[in-house]
Amino acid sequence: MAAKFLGQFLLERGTLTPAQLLAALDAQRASNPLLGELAIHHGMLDASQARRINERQRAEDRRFGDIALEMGWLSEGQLDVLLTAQKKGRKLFGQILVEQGVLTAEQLETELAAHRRDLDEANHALALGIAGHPLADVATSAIRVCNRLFPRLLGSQCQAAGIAHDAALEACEVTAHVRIASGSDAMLVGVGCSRATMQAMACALLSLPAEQCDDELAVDALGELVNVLMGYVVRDTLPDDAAYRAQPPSTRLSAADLAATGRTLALAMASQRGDFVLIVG
Amino acid sequence: MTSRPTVLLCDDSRALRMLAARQLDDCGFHVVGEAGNGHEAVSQYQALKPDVVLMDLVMPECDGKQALGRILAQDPGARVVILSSLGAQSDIEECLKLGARSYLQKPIDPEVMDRVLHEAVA
Repeated sequence: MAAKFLGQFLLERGTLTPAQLLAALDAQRASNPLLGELAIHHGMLDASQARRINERQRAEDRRFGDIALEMGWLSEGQLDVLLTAQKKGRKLFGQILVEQGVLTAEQLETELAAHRRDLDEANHALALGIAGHPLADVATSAIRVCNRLFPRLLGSQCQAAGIAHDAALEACEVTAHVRIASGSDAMLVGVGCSRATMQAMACALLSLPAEQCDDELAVDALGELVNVLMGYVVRDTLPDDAAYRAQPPSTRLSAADLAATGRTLALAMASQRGDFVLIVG
Repeated sequence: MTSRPTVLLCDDSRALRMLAARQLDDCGFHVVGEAGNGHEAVSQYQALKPDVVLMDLVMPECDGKQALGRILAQDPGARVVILSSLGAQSDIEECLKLGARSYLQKPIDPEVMDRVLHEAVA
């Protein structure tokens, strides 16, 4: 059993059609504008200011409003207006399904309970899978880093869905990994995924439309993403004064190849940009 | 003609160069050249004489430390700021001792980059 976002879970159960899922996601996005979008809409910020705040958010793990206040671009009063407007309009995914007539309120309750069970089972399986594994600490750190960075870098939630099995590894059409050597130890972080997921991640990372993101650029962006993940995992797991040497991102080995070394742990991950495999070693 | 400070952007990742170029433009810098490895950075530095170089560390062929050393050997007044995803104290120390003006960690914080690069060219 693998943890999935509610929409994906309902799609796989046949509760939602792809068209219903897309319509509900559109409605959810429309109901939950980003604070920057609202600020532009209210004439409180221009697009360039909002972008600069978003870019700082990517690097600093801080809220949009806090950065805007610090920069003096929004007042406390303006921020209150925006937060109130944002909260007032925000709708949960399930609420939208009911509003759109896809589910009744009773059906939603049943599906939410099933989804919660699914998540609990997946988290339990993941905990069992990595418990006692020599790479459990690195894997836990890498999952935590992904959870923290994906919303900032890719505008997407991300969660561990379990240990990646052969089928998930074989489904990876592209894999980027970074290695570092610290004394006699080595560490590896890799991400494998389909080309479609890579493209979606690259477009989100670079804020580019798909037609402007060719395959080579998308591969490059995936490498850069792994590079940043590795940077955070290193900071999380190695002592401050550890000396290490890094290699540039490589896409020469497949996810299956990396997993086959026996010195890695591959985790299935779910994100709104697509599923991927996170490999640590 | 532009009065904006000029930057040579050196990173083997085209994606990173694209992101950084956009942010540098927002910060009021003019990206006069891009290099994909240290060799290119050294030759482009000679040709373009930018106000500041933003240099990745881990690159194939010639890495950022080697390029930093070669640029400073040619021009001891060169202003080079390191931008790397890895932040080992030993790397930071080594780069600063080699003559880097500062050391930034990815992902880029545009405010920090803005301040550090403007300080470097001041």
